Amino acid sequence: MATLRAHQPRQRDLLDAPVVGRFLRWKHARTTLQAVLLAVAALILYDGFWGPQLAPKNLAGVLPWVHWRGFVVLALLVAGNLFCMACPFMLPRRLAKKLLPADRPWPAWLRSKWLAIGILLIFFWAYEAFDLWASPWLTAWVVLTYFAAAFAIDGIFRGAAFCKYVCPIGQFNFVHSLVSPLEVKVRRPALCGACTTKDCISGRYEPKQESGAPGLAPAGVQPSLLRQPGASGNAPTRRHAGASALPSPSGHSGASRNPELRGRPDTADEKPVSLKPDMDGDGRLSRHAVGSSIQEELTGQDAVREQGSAHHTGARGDAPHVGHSGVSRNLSSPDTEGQTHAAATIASLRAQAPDKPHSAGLRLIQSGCELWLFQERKVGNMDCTFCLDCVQACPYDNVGIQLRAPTAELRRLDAWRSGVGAVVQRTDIAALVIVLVFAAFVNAFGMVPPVYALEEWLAAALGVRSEPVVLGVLFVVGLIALPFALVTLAAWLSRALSGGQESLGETVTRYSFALIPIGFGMWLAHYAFHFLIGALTVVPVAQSFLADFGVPFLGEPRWELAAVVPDAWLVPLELLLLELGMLVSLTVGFRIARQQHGSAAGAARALLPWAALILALFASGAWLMTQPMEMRGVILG
Amino acid sequence: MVTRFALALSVLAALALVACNPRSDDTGGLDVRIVSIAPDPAAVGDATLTLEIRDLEGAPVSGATVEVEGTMTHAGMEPVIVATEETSDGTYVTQDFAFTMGGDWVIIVRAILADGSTAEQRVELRGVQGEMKMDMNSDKAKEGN
Ligand code: SF4
Ligand code: SF4
Ligand SMILES: [Cu+2]
Repeated sequence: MATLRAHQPRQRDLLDAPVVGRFLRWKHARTTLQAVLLAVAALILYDGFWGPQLAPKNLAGVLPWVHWRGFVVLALLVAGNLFCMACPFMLPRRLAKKLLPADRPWPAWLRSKWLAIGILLIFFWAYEAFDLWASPWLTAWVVLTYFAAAFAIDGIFRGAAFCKYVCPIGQFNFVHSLVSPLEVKVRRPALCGACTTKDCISGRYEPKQESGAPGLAPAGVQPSLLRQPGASGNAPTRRHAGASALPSPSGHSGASRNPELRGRPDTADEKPVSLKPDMDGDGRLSRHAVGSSIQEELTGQDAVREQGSAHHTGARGDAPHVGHSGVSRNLSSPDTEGQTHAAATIASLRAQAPDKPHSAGLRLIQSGCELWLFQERKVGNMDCTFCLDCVQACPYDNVGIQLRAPTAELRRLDAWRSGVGAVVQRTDIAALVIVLVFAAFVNAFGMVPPVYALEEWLAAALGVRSEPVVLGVLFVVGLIALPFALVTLAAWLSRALSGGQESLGETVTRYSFALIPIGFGMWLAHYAFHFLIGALTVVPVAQSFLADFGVPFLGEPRWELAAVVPDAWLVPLELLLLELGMLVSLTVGFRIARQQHGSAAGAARALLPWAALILALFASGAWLMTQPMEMRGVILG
Repeated sequence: MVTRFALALSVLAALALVACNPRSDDTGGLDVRIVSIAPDPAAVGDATLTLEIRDLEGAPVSGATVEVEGTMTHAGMEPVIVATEETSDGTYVTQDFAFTMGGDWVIIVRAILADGSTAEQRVELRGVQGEMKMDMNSDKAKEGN
């Protein structure tokens, strides 16, 4: 039975912070942040295309490669996925949602991270092969392509398909935000159990003024859908209504089965009808038929959850692992249970609203989560862009940005996550993690002299002089073959040493999450290096940019401005970040092993090969840092 | 919808045409060249660059104020900007130049001639040899300007 905890530990919530919290609650907070970054992006585009083609003198050379990369990793370290929150690519995309139909479901076979992994690999290769950092012009092209891709993809497909399945920056942020200290999260889970409208996922609607009498609820639509925009967020009456509903959540069959993990009410019956205007498949979709895609996604993911969670004994779903044999691993193909679920939904919709007047009569006033993360069952930061749509949509003010232990969610790899599934079952996410971890090292390796010797040697061995080809080979080895071999070996040894029951693939997937901190440490060390050594170069570059327009600013460009910390601090600081990453990785690895094997000794044996891999990564990172850092690109030809 | 899409695409295409890769070098009809860099091969640390400036007839251009800036192809490094001294007709030698980091450099020579006209020339200098990063503080780069 669902028992409500009377005294929940007080959550520290960024939304309660004095100034920042007020700002973030403001309806236009994200738009404001995006507008600022859009202006920056416009500067990058302008200077990149038409400015001096010398990276250190061009805003397109400085802002993306010195500041933006540094900002992204530091934000992830001290807060969370702040870049996605302020992402400028989302502004024109919003226009696309208005201008273009945006009604197609994202193809089922692409509902994974594989496409994004491919794009990431191509990006890392192109970055070296074409020296993107050295070419403001190419950099501007990358930015422009980004805008175009987000615009086109989200103009064609429903929801935030671009962010969830395509955007390589987003994937980087999603993975590393798993170790960030902030999480967008429900404040009082019990309140969600009593909520019937689920605005955080379905969005909030109001009647279209022109169609029919205003204020008249279309048949079958929950009253809360008709709330006016002014009543958004914190309306006390709503809160009260919600609170008074709390003592009797037992009507929800889901809640009664398992209050913690499966506290999901059977939304199939209770979701507002407007959610699925197109589920009966007559092909006519309303422009903002987010609900239908949600239903589709949730149904698919739910299928996995239902099966997967059947193996768990712990209430929180992260109890010692019992094995997932028989679990559907293909998230894009809902199994029969999911289809039954959907069929029931459609039937109930037909019964309630035979002629679907609502789909034409409602206007979306606040999106729910377009990444299909349903707050009530959302666990952790995977796939969360910190867009705060859910915060804005929730009528009970029940979603916050909460402080947490940075690695807390890595204890919950088995937990079923809304819109994601259990990450231990997501081979694609594990592959994404592994590629990003190794890319941290390969990307830094691209900047030290030994890489040139290696390139020369490889070019001679292969008999080619084309740098893109040689680099292509290096990247296939460094980001695919070598990581694959190493993690497979580690998993095999781990199983052999500990007698683990999981399959090789499952072992790889599970422990790959322990590698995130060491990879993150390396990214931090590298990009913090560029940031700290060059942050102030933006001042003279901006000065000369303005001077080109005949607007002198603070006199002559101050070219002597560059570093923000003394050079002597850099290497120790880099090593410190990498060491921290290593220690956290070892800790997380041990916790994962401990969840798998009851005894500390068994856990230690299972961890041993992974610890060796973590230490090897640390050693190579430390070696990279003692190499003379060179800023150069072309070596062949 | 198709038309809107086509519209969006054509806007992009138009942008692409405008945004062809620009090049800039304004040598003002002069021949500016770096004739030697010591030490050779170039390496991190103090260095001396010797330049020659000639007009199109090949006659040395003397009496110019010549500034040399060393910067890198990667953003985020402090450039090294130094003055030069004319050692013989049309030959200018840098004062206190230093390479502060290994890698690909771009040397920019800026000259203001006696008659007030200006000339600028860029030369790429790839693969300046690095040294241990720990020693980076010991060079005199910062005194360059
Ligand atoms: S995932 Fe979305 S919000 Fe994040 S960077 Fe990509 S486009 Fe922007
Ligand atoms: S709406 Fe979704 S992506 Fe946005 S903050 Fe909420 S959970 Fe994250
Ligand atoms: Cu670098």
